[in-house]
Amino acid sequence: MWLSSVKFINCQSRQDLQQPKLASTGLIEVSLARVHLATIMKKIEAIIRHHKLDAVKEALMGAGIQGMTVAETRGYGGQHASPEVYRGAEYAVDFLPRVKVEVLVDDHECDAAVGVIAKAARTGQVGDGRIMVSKIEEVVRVRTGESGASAL
Amino acid sequence: MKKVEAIIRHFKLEEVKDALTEAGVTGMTVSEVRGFGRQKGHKEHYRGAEYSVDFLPKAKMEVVVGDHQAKLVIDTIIRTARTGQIGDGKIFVTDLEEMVRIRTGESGDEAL
Repeated sequence: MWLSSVKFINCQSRQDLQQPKLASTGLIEVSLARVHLATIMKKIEAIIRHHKLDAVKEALMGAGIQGMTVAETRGYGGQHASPEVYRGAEYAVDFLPRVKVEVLVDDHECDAAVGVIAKAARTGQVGDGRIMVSKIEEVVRVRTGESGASAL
Repeated sequence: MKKVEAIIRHFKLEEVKDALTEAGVTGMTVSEVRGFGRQKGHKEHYRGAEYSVDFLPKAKMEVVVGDHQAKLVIDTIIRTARTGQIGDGKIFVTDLEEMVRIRTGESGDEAL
């Protein structure tokens, strides 16, 4: 990735490109090229308890990560056998209500974001949920059609 | 690790869940979703007026399993969620890079 940026510089300084005046702003060009080449986007999906949603949101905003999508889900995991009390009602072996939070981040923010979510969502009790990370091939902002890192 | 997402009919959910539990899958997440596929929804009569129902309610279930279990999970879902009628749903499989159990911070296969 760095090599390609360097090649890009050389290309600029030799004024091989059709727009020679860009050569003088070579630095800007290079930084743009680097962002474009380096951007690997990740989707973090976290299944968490409802009452931890605000804490997770605040923590992510504190870490400079903007934007999230939240959905109501139901599920079960390792706690399958043990009943759980939720809002006064006891839920047996079945699906328990949870929220799913989806966040799109740049690759270099990913580990930090996962850590932030895990810390904020933890109660230490069985049923705290899971965090899943997968690679996203493309992100497009619907309003403008921007894609990649600028659409995050 | 693979994430298997399946869009299925609501009334098949319990059946699929039981079959997956029997197959050794210990967790899943389910959401209410709406969608349409090849049948493009259908027309429905309600109080004399014709409505075209674009988005039909379905259940989306997500299961995360190790690579070697993915095939078994997919086959199990296909077998139990099928009615043979249009609208049985779809199954999507994606690669999952990482999985973290929030309570303990364990990651990878230990978090499954």
